[in-house]
Amino acid sequence: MIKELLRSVLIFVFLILLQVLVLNNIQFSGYINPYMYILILFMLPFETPGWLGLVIGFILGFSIDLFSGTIGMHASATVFIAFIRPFLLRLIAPRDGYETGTFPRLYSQGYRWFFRYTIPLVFIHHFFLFYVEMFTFTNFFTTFLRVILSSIFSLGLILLSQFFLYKK
Amino acid sequence: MRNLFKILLRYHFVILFFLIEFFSLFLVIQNNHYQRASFLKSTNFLSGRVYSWFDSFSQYLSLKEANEELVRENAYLYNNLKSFYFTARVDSHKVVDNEYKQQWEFIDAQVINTSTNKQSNYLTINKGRSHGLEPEMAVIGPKGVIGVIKDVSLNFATVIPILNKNLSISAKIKRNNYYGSLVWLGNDYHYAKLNEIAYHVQFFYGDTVVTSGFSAIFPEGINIGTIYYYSKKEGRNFYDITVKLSTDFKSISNVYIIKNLMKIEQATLENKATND
Repeated sequence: MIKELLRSVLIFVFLILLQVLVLNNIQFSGYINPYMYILILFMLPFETPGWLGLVIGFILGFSIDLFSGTIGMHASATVFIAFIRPFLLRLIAPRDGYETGTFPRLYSQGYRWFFRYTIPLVFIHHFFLFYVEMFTFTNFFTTFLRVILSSIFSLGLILLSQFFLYKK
Repeated sequence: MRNLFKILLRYHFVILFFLIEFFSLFLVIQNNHYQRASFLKSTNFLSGRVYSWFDSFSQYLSLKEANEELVRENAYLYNNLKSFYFTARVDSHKVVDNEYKQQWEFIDAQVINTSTNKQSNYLTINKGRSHGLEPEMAVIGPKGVIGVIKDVSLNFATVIPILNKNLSISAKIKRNNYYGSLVWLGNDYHYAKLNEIAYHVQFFYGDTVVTSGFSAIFPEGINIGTIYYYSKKEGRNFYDITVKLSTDFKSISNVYIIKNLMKIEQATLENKATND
């Protein structure tokens, strides 16, 4: 248990550093900015109480904000998906619930479930974030294109993480 | 009372969500209000430290290029040094030289954090109030204009680069001195737009665009970029000019801050004129 917690904290720090030092510098034609750090929220155990998810979401978003000078933006987006997550988990649960002792990982839940879980959350997060960043709905479609392209990129990274960070 | 407590307990998740969400959005708006009080951006202690640590590492990797650039720049400066010029004039009597008075002072600094992928980008540099920096001073790099200082803390300062939709710079075409304003469109960090150049003006692809020197922030004639593309639009009086920026914002590390020693004099004089 302690070992598992320590590992989670290390991954937390690693993903934040990866985000602010590497991923924030990635840019293709001004459209694609992958945000992989939300993976931390996705990987929380099924039994995590809702309030704890919200608090972790806020701390996570706020740490990214501190580094990128966008106080509140990432925090509001991560808190929003932390709010959505329990409902989504219930919506896509297998008929007889999640097996006890399993985690929301690719290897234990399978591709179909994993995509139904990550695609909506990544999209909602990016959508929220990009529009809060613009703070306006003018240029709606340009921003929407950025949301779509960045989501695809982030999803790719999140999928990759399942083979390297969170393997069996 | 007991019922209230029950309700609170029952809906604690939703209530907590709204509390945190509104708090976050409040923070966003609060910072938006002052054009995202960029002071917080990496001027704060922790992230400032991490960034300067990471920057010292990445600087090490590009030492060679940085050195070459500095040598070139030194050579250029040597060429302009008065003491290396042969004096053709013969002075028969001594004069107190009132001819040259320094107007622009240069302070060097290093960029420790930058972004190019947002709509409003900022840079952080490692010089601040204690080195004599103030808001609204010009920042240039070896290849040309970078931006204007926004906020200063004791040891750091944030810079609004050209790559920020909130900044527009008074620029002119070097060939014929016609001036307009230079703004960034928010997409590609290589290009910006030069507005307000009327149709009768003659210029060519590749013409140099420099600062106009009208703002008392930038000296005149600092390189900004070259004309990359232009077109005439129906029913408009001005050209649509795309300027290729000479500075590659992905690779800036050494910059100079320019202090206008006569700024107050100019500003008070100009204020007098507008007040009349």
